[in-house]
Amino acid sequence: MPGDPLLLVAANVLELVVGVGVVLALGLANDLRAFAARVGLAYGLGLALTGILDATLALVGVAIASLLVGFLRRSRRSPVAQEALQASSSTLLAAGIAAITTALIALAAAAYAVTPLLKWDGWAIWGTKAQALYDFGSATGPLFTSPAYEGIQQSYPLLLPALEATDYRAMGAADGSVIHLQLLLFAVAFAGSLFGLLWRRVPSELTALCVLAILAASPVLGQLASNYADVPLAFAIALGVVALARWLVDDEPWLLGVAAIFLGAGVLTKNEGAMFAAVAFLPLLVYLAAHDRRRALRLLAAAGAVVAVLLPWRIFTSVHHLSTGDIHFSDALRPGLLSAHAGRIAPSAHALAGQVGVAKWGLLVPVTAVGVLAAFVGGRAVLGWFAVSWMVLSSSCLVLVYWISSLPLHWYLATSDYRIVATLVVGGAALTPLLAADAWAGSKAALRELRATRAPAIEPETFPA
Amino acid sequence: MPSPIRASWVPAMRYSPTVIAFYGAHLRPGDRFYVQAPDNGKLGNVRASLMLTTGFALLPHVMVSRPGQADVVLSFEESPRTLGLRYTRVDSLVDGISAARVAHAG
Repeated sequence: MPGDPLLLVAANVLELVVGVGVVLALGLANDLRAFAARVGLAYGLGLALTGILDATLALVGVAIASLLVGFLRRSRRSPVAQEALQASSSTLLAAGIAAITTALIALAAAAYAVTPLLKWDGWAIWGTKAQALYDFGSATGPLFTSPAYEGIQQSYPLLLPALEATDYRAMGAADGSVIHLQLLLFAVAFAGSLFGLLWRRVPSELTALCVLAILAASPVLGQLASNYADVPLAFAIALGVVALARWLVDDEPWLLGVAAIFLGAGVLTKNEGAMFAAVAFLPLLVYLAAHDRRRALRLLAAAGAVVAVLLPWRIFTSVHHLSTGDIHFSDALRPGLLSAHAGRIAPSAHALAGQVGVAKWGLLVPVTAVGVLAAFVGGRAVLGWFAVSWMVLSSSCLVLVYWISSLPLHWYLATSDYRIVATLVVGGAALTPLLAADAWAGSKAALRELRATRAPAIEPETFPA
Repeated sequence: MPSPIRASWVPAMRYSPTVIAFYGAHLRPGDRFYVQAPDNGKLGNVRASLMLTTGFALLPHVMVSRPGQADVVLSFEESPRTLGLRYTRVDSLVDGISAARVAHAG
């Protein structure tokens, strides 16, 4: 039975309402302008929170619908601290770029709405889980625990299929085509969330340009349409890392909470989400342990919250003795295996490097490199080091995954390298506006100053009295 | 029966929608099924891919890992007779593709 796309949109509006409750509770939208700027962030938070709750409650057979209302409560909080910088922005330029992004998404929506579940993992893993959550209402049935269904990778977490099952319930039908609109709505949530996270901190046109560059990179909407979880993972982790980066420089408590929510959503989207989240926390913890113990403790609490989000799923997989797949990071501590597999390092690193090039992701990686450079030039060295640390550690962990795996390397790389880099590339690109903000604002100020000093000297000559 | 939506992607894989529809037509509400197909133990062998296909397409029917747990045995390029079970009925689409209803004791 075909599903009604409007009902899918209605489910997402409810998720937006959840996020609006969170944004209001955090005091992030105290006037209409702030609300308009952060409504995208509210949507992203609503999706992330609903996904976390949906995926977790499915483990004990509880439906989320009855709980939605609870999140609509508004609690009184002190207003958010004054933004560290008043960003200089060109509203008209930002609006123009946003219009192009909207047109891109509208064009994609027309194709997404009629795309069937054609890609292997898209239907075999994620599609089957979503269908089963819709059919059975929870993850307690044999599909999630019986050896007969080992092939659907039972150890992969449930956030993506749980959100899709929620859409199926809203539509009253498991429509494998219309569900692609949900995937596209992840892109909308990502764009809005990044804008909301950086609003007033980064010139709007810079954020808008970056969002457009990310969504226009062909692997983003291309891979998103496959119903694989890699791009949704990339979005969630990227937003979490950006929130952490902003918290590092601005020290506003709400950013840490937002980071924990997005990183929590990331660890429940794919198993490697835990790896990407861990290498985001690690360099920050090391830095703050040496410079500010109080903040280090707060960061530790946020990391604990992410672990707490993952814990029920890990207990579930442990209780049901589900295979955790072919990758075990404990193998990285086995010198014999590392030595025996050493021949896998170079081809893996080479293949991954080939997948992040301009031919695949457009200018995202070069732009990220410029952003890092701008952070150092613009006096944000700590931010620059954080970005570099996260990207280097993430890349190293990706190579480590191929190094310690026992899967045939050629096949493993051919089936995964093009998509496993998505989080790294999107995460780096999403950090770019924050990295470059000060240098961008400084350049614009210098340009204005230059114009102002030149103008009086030129005027008399051009228009002699 | 798989829905038309779900049947639409089947041609993209190695099994015809006719085969999946045949299997689906022989399942009653609540039936559990077992997939019998050649298995050479290698990645992506016929049985593994057929299990994935039917596992998705035949939901909410549940697949089992042992033939003795099944109400219906769905066979592809093999005969259900080789499993040592008793059946109340065996229907074939073509030679080698069949659905066999297991005769449960009692």
